[in-house]
Amino acid sequence: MNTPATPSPEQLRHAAGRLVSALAAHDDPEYRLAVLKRLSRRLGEDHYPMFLRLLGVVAESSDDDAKRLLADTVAVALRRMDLPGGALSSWGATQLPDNVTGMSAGALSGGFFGNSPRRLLGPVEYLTVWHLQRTQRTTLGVDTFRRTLARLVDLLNHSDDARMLYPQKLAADAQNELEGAYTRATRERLAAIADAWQAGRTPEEVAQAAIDAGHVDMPAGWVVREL
Amino acid sequence: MSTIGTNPPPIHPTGLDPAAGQVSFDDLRQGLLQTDAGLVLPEAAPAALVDPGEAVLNLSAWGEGDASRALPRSDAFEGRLAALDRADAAGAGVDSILAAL
Repeated sequence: MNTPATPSPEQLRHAAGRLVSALAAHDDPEYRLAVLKRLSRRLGEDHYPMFLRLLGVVAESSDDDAKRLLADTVAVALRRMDLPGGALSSWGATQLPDNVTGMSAGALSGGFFGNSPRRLLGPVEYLTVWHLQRTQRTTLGVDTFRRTLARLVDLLNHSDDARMLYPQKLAADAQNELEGAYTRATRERLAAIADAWQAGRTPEEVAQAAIDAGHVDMPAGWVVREL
Repeated sequence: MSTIGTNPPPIHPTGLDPAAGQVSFDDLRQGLLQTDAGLVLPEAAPAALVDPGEAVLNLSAWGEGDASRALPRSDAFEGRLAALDRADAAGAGVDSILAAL
């Protein structure tokens, strides 16, 4: 979809207000989840950060009812394992040619070289992968990662379900080495987020824990491949 | 008998400039642009690349005077969506959010 290059603060607040009003229009968790998922889908892959920003605007507001409504909707998505996600290219998802059926010349375009399949990731996982892994996006800076993750955790803490379920999901993701969505470094950060979140640390401490988890003592000059 | 030649290979001017006057992107990134006079001039530090999505995450939504930080919710808009069936309300709601941007 086409969005203005730079929405004004008023436009952002207005859009976030409409999001909350749309969620509140029907007292039905299915409907509310449909609104969130449709919004992320309509924004599209390139504009998923706008979806995250709108969640952030609600988090920054003083409207606790709005935060609870939004967080409860994310909790419903967690229970269904159906988070409104954004797509990032994944290091482990590149499709190799099938040596049984042969390979057409068309298979060499895009799908094999560089245009690797993308995985849908929930908001916290999206931020973490964007910050740590090579994706189709330029790497997310550490300050933005910290600030956005803290805002998101703060928002989700307004729902008891989301506060319980999201760290559990992240801990489970951190255990999964087989699927290939996450590098070792990403799994370590996801585990650190889960631990800090479950321990009841503040949102800022949860975000900082994710960053600190990457700081291991390494001899100067060493180059480490994080797989 | 050694097959290593005793005569050093001749040095041609082209061998000193394998890029034939062209500058690679890496050279530019390292800021090592060589002038005709042979001086190596440090280039200004390249601007940090910021993903457009990161710029979106950093957009400000509140001004200095927004102490209350109240979200502009609309009861009228909510009421209109409530009057629709859920599928239509979800579609209309998302249309309205996107229109606001």
